Amino acid sequence: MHSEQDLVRRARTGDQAAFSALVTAYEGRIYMLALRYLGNRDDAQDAAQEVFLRVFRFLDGFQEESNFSTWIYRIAVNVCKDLLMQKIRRAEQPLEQKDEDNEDYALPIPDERYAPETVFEAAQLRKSLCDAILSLPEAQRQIIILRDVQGLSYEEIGEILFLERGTVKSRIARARGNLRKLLLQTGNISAFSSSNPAKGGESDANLQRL
Amino acid sequence: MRTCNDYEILIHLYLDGMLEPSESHELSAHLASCSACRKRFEQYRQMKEAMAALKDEPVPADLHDSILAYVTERADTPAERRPVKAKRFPSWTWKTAAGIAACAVIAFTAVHMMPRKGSADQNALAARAPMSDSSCAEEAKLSNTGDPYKMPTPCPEDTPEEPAENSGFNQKGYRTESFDPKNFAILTETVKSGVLRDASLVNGYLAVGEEDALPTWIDREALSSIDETPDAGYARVAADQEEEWVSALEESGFALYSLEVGGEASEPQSAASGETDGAEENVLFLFQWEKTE
Repeated sequence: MHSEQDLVRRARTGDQAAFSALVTAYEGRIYMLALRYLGNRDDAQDAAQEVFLRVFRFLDGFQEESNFSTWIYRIAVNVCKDLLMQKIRRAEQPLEQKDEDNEDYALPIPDERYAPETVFEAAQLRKSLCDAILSLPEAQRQIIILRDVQGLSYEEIGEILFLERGTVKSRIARARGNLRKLLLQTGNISAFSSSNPAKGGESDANLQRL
Repeated sequence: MRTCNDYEILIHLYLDGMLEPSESHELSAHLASCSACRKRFEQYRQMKEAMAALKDEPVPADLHDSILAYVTERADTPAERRPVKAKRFPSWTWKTAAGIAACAVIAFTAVHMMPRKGSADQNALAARAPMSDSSCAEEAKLSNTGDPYKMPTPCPEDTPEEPAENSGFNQKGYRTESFDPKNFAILTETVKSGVLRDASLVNGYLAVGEEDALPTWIDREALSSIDETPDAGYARVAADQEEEWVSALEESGFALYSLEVGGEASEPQSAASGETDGAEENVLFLFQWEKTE
């Protein structure tokens, strides 16, 4: 077993096995981040490749005292940003979504098949959630992927995105708020109407856990 | 007294395991009495669960191999790990620059001094990389008084040239002085401090991404016109670190072209709408550098 620091050090000296081990350690997470960020598997794979190329090229400049994971996530976010912009340019279809905090993002067209009262259904929710993530303003998208898909802490996210803690907190809240609205619009999150005793019961049960 | 909106923030913190026990009790009490927030709480909880489940998806079987192949193909040997743009600045250029060091030299100087037929285009690029139309080149020529084929005349006062106003780009003309290699360390520290993103020192050069790592909103065709420009580099830094970065760069005497502000929102019309949290905006610089020794 080798520590990550050790692997980084060896990879830096040109040790291919060490570099490959770093790829193994991070490829899944980086791929998944890119998949949620970019929305399809081909782009996600392209992004993962590009991320590790940049890691390889910039490894010399990586500070040992800083966190490799933070560093590679930062590269990954930048690669995704670049690829997305590239895609938008190629398609020449200016998306409605603007930068962070502009609430004027493109909403998905409500899907009439799902009435608002539709009960939670895993596969549907999954699909809608992915779509909803992709319609968030980019800054909210990246933060919510890092937090809720990747499970990174507020501190880590702040370091990766160069954000103050307060900004991390408020942006996560905004992103989730928007996601919830999007899911309600497509009827993929149950409305939990108080007139429904079964749902009320579930809610109470959760309350007990507080 | 907290409002339901305040409690919504607490819900998020609770779901992230970041709530103090006292606040948890407070939230719990509120949820017991407010059905709207209870509903919201349950929705957020359900959503967060579903989000976490999104990472449980198989990765492509060839992912690992494809990554290694991609890397190997593009960076076979450590010796080639240097940025394509990190070509050495011809020494005569810096010598000339040193000759007029007593005077503040505007950022465009180095480009002006290059006896290349593409000078005007290069100026245009320096002025605003994302645009490459000819009117842009014209404007850049006009906004700089010097003849591109002539040595710049030393300016009598410390008067940096007025940055050219143009469509929404936050463009600034930073002045710079002659390059002093011993100040390279300052820049090195700037890189190490993490102010520069995606940057590193490679073989004594400041490397800020490879050509294929260029921010995509930069007009690549325009950029290719400076391929012959010695040692043009670019950097993207967080907006709130701009000052720090600029002063470090200026102290080290780098020829610095400020291109524009805005990162991914850098299209001309959106560059101005900066009413965000502020920290994530990027600033792009084009600059030139010299090797350490």
